[in-house]
Amino acid sequence: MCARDGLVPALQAIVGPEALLAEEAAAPYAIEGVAPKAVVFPEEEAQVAEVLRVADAHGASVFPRGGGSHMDLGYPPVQVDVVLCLERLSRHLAYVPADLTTTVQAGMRLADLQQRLRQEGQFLALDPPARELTTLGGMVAANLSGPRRLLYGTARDMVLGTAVITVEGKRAKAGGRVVKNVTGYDLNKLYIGSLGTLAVIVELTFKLYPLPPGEHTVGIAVAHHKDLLPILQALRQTPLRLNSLELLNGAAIDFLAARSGVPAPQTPYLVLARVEGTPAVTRQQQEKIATALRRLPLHRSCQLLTWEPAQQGRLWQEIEEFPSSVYAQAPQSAVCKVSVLMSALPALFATLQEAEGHAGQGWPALAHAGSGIAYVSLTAPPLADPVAELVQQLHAFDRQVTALGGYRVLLHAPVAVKQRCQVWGPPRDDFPLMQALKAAFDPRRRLNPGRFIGGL
Amino acid sequence: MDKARLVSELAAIVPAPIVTAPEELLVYECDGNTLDKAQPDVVVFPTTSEQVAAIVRLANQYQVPFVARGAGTGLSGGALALHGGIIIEMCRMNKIWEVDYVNQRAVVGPGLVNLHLSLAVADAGYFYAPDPSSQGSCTIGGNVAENSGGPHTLKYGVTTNHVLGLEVVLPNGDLVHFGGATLDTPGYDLTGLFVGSEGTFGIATKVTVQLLRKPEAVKTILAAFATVADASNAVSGIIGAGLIPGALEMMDHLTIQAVEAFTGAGLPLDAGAVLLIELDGIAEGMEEDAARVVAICQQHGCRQVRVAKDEAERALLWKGRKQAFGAMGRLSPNYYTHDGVIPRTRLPEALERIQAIGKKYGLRIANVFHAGDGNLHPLVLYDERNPEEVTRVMQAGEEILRTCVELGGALTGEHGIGMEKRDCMPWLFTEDDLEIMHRVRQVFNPHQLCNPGKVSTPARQVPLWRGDP
Repeated sequence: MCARDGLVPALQAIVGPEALLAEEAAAPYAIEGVAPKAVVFPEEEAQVAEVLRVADAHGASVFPRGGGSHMDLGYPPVQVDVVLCLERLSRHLAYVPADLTTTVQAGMRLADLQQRLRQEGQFLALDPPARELTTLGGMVAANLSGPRRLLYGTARDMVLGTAVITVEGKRAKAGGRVVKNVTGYDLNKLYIGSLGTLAVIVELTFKLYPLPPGEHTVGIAVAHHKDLLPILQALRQTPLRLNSLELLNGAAIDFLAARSGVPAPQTPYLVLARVEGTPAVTRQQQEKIATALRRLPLHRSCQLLTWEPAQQGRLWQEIEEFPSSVYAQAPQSAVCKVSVLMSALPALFATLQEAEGHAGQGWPALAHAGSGIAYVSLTAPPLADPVAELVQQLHAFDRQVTALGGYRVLLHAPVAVKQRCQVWGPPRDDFPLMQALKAAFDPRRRLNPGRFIGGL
Repeated sequence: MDKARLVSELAAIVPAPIVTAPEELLVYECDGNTLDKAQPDVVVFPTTSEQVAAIVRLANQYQVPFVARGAGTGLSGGALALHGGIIIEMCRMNKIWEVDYVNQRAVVGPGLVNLHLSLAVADAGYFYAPDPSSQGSCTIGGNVAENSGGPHTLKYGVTTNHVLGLEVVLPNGDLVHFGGATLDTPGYDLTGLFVGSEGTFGIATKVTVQLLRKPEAVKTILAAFATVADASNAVSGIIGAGLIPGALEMMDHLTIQAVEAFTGAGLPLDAGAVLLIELDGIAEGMEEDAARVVAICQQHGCRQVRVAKDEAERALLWKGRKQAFGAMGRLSPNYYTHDGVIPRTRLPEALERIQAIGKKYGLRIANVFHAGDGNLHPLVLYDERNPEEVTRVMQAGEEILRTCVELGGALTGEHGIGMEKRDCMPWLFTEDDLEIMHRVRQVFNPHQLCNPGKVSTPARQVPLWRGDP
């Protein structure tokens, strides 16, 4: 008899039979093809604590789950015992609009929160992929972000307070509900992006922003890669209220145009700048952009583009979704998130151009250029061994990224590819500390074991 | 282990001077919080990361506590050598290693004075956003330790929002790197965890920060109100209208008296409170936003509005705000300040209760604070030669902090817990909350030699280290 026997009845005793799936019913919750023994849907924090305690006692591994949009992030799991679904912990706990803060349970959906905030003219300034599906806890655990990060930052700039349940069932909070706070260690930062490997996030307090009175997008079709940096730099240096600055290559432009139905030019590169303000203010900023670009000595003249407001909205929605949607349409691809300095982006994109030549097909790439974050979809020609081919492409790509002083995370890829790559890149000299932190929180490696950097 | 031997081994690591004379050590017995004092045994001034690592290794070898110190402007006793031992004074590691304007990054030594960074990049049109009132002397390394704020954090955020990477000497002497110039470094965000750890997770020896473009336009408005309540309501009105000024500061009647005597900026001496409101950003829409701010202030009973007409007037208005603590010397020999935070909408109630606490203890309390953030700075005036008054000051301070916690706030917004408020931590955090924090500290600082006795009562008490003379 193994220690995990009796796990399912013990879990059922906690959440009740209607909040537990086992055997075949659990199959849809498989993570990277590995089906769980049980899926539980606790409704109360106390049940989360009890589930974690029981799982620990049974030696069972636990995989926290929000909306399920990013369950493939990380190394594929070897064995999945319990999937801990937080979607029923979805209460909106506190919201005082004039404080510009709100407190939610982790299972609340981002879309539901945004809808409530919009009624007060406010929003949470995070625009990750899977915006309809993602829960706030999942979004924070995976540290998801989108184009608006240029102006507003990422979860680390917006999470004011966190409550987690540890593997031994303790509830621990950090931070608070005020916008400025140095009371105690900032464990919020430790939980953000920790992929549920330290503790299970159950409650979050966010800093909010007023909705901008309006937005406007300027497109710049660029013909020569040597013109990219001067253009990006000019846009960063011109006084604008610029909330997004994107760079797309030809393949990404085609992909987004097809998905959004928004007409896009045939051009090797497209830069998109989105500014905020009242209609009068965005108009003036548009003029500033045009003036700044006119002054630049460029190799090839660039072309300014604008779209109808509804088209702009569709375009940005597809830009936000790009890291997920580009994988959905090409499951035999490897979608990478690359972080480099903005100044290295033209070289990165030029590299892709060359690699495309070898593979004989376009690699869509989209960068939140002002932040130096690029999403690239690598594919391999359908040869005898596509997995080996893709792994080889990845290794070559990694060398390029490293040469540019950047990092690469493999966001989405077939399991067989992930098993032969370092999903989070190579660990660095801070890795022993990360191991020690993991051991301090989860010494028996129950939470999302083996999935994070270095197999944490 | 005798002290002479420690000093001679330190001398083999760091260049002179090494401070050991009791009268010279007096300088290092406290920081900006003068109510708590403790003397180190020795103070050293390293010039390289390797020297810092070697000092820390030596301290480990002999089990001597050590504390990194910047400019000593901290306000919570964070840089005190509470258990004796070595103070590692970082001020000589003040080099600007690299400035990359294209990517808006700089790499600096921890001893660099905060304002010196902004001055160095000003001509190119950039600045470093966190601006504590002590920015003319406080160091970037100290800011990292305390996660310092400042008036402009309402819009720009605090230190942690601007630090991207760190080189750190860990409490065991290992040199490691967190984060870097690029964003979203894979793995746990150790940079974010380290910022604000008050010197208990190690010593930052290099700091990578982001630089911002200087705003195209700035508008500084001084609005005078009859009462603190009116001014507080105007604060809520401005934020509630979706306006986020660069800074939104309040000074109450008592503060106005002190500051005006000091700067002669022409503050209205009969006002109950003034708001210093600074809008910054692009030029387009600035006039409209300023008009909205003024209208909101007037709706809340503002009696007088003054808009700074040039940079000189703006600087004068800010001088009063930034030097307000120093100006208190005109009202009283000493002051004691707290740094509690409350949700912004609770400002009127909080200020009323603080005044009541002052009355109850027979103490004058001046308020000068970051109203937009809900970050209070009540300055309790006293005379340290009167021990009975000092006792009342401490009681009043405690009651103010308890009020902040009751109103849903926190103990400190930017000054840190240090040793000053460590015993208050259980007011806000449960035993389990604190146990998790201890666990994290144990990972970094298992022997509690690195700045012992700060943030919260350590799991293991460190004995006072005193080498034989």
